[in-house]
Amino acid sequence: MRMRRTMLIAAAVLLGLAALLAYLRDPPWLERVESGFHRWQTTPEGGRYRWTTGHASFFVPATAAAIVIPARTTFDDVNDPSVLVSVEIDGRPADEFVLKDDDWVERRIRMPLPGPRRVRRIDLRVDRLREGNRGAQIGEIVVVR
Amino acid sequence: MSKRLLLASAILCLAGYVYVYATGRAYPPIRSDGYSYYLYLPSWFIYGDTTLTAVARDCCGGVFPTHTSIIRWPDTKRWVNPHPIGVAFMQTPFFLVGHALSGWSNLSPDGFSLYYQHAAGLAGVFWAIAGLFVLRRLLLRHFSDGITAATLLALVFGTSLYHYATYDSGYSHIYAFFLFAAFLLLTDAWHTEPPSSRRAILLGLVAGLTILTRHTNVLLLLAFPAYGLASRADAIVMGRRLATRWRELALAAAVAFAVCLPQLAIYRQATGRAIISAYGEQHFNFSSPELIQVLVGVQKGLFFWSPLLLAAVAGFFLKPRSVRPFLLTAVVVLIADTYLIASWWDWQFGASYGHRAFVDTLPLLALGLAAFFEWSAARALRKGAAIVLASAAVFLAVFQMLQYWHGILPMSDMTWEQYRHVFLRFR
Repeated sequence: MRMRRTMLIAAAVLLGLAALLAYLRDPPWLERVESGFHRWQTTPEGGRYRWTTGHASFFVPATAAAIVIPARTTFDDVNDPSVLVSVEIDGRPADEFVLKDDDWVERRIRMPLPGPRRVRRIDLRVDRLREGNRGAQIGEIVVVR
Repeated sequence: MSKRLLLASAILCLAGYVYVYATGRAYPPIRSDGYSYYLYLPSWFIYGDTTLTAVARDCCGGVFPTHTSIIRWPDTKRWVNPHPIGVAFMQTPFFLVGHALSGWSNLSPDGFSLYYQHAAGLAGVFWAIAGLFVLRRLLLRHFSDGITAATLLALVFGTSLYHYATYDSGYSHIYAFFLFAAFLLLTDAWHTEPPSSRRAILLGLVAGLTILTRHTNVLLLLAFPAYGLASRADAIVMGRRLATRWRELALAAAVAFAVCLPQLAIYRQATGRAIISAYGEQHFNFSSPELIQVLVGVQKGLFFWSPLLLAAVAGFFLKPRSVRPFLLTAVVVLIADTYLIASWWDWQFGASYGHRAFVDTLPLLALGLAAFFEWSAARALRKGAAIVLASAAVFLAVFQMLQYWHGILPMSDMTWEQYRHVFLRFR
């Protein structure tokens, strides 16, 4: 009797774990998950942006045909070196560009063919930081369907 | 009763953790000191690098921000982390689950995305509950179930323990709390029960991890030789016991040394020397400790923010027989630890609720608190007074903790005027 009860509990736990894993494979809330960003700020013109740290990531819908990434960084000192921004899509290199001055750059990146998931992960890496663990300013991402 | 209370505390710790992060009360768990304690894990398991160089490149453009206190060693130019590897060691199983889940859900496998954050945060919650579990066993060896339940309840909610089990679970203190509770339990068992190699190994493991969690916590290990010492006769008995059981002691020491070896190797790789001070320009002011401030000051004073602990200290005097084996430990460890904390250049220990450095020694204070409750329970009037005072202290501690969570209390440098202005106010 006791053995049967233990087996039943073990089976229920395994079933629950399997269901949880199946759910976590492609959860709907992933589109709102991001990491490596500072808080949103507003430019004097009213545009929104936020600083990345050395590595930031976010998700876009798998239906996107392309994304546009507005980016810039600051050059408080004339000797401040330029910043290389590398972009990965689902862990594969997709693009890289250099921020040479403090003008906004709008980088359009075509998305490769989507996989079975409903969202795609975009990773941004910068090769150097400004004071305060700040890499590049990233504006609102435009998703092109 | 204490078993049910333990279960309820565990559920409330999890609920508090969920509340803090679901409502955005706190930044993600890997932050402040918790960042540098954790940093070893992505470095070792994701980049296969023990020098922290690769993780610095990925997280921070190659250079750790100054607020992390991770320094470049002047001679070798390699990174030296002021925080040792013990916390990372205890977070490892949680990190590995977070890492596997990150791959499964296609989250960035960088050591800092969503699952890693909560793996680190929940590791702290787990070790807090484990600490309470161990502390309950220790208390039950000396006190009744009712006294044990009252002590656990008062400790969790009448001190900053709940805060460091939930809101700031990424810091080292809750790990040190578990380790010290385990060390006291094993010490108690070692001195009172028949020899056991298994216990000696556990004693060595816990002692090694204690040193690896915060090097200055080596002081807490004085609880072992100080156990039960109250007279010259006790010292003679202890000397004989240590001499006859030297094999167990050697085994425990060997295990503790083996546990510490990876840390020595890391220091040697980074600096060329196995034993260093990794604090850089941070230092102790042993000639001018801020004793009054760390004990009763409005900024972070231990008894100011957790007045219940006055009862814990009183317990050692009021009912010394119940805590006789730990009396000398209480005197030596609490005085030495307080002096050390008060001598640290940043005696407030930065942004924190209450004085976080004392969380490590709460298992010892719990024994004093239990002794106080036992003393109080002997007479009806005392019991009534103790219930009223303890309830008031718990209410105040919980209220102030919620004020801190909601940004009403400042994270450091509180003044008396500020305190009076927000006292028992939620807006």
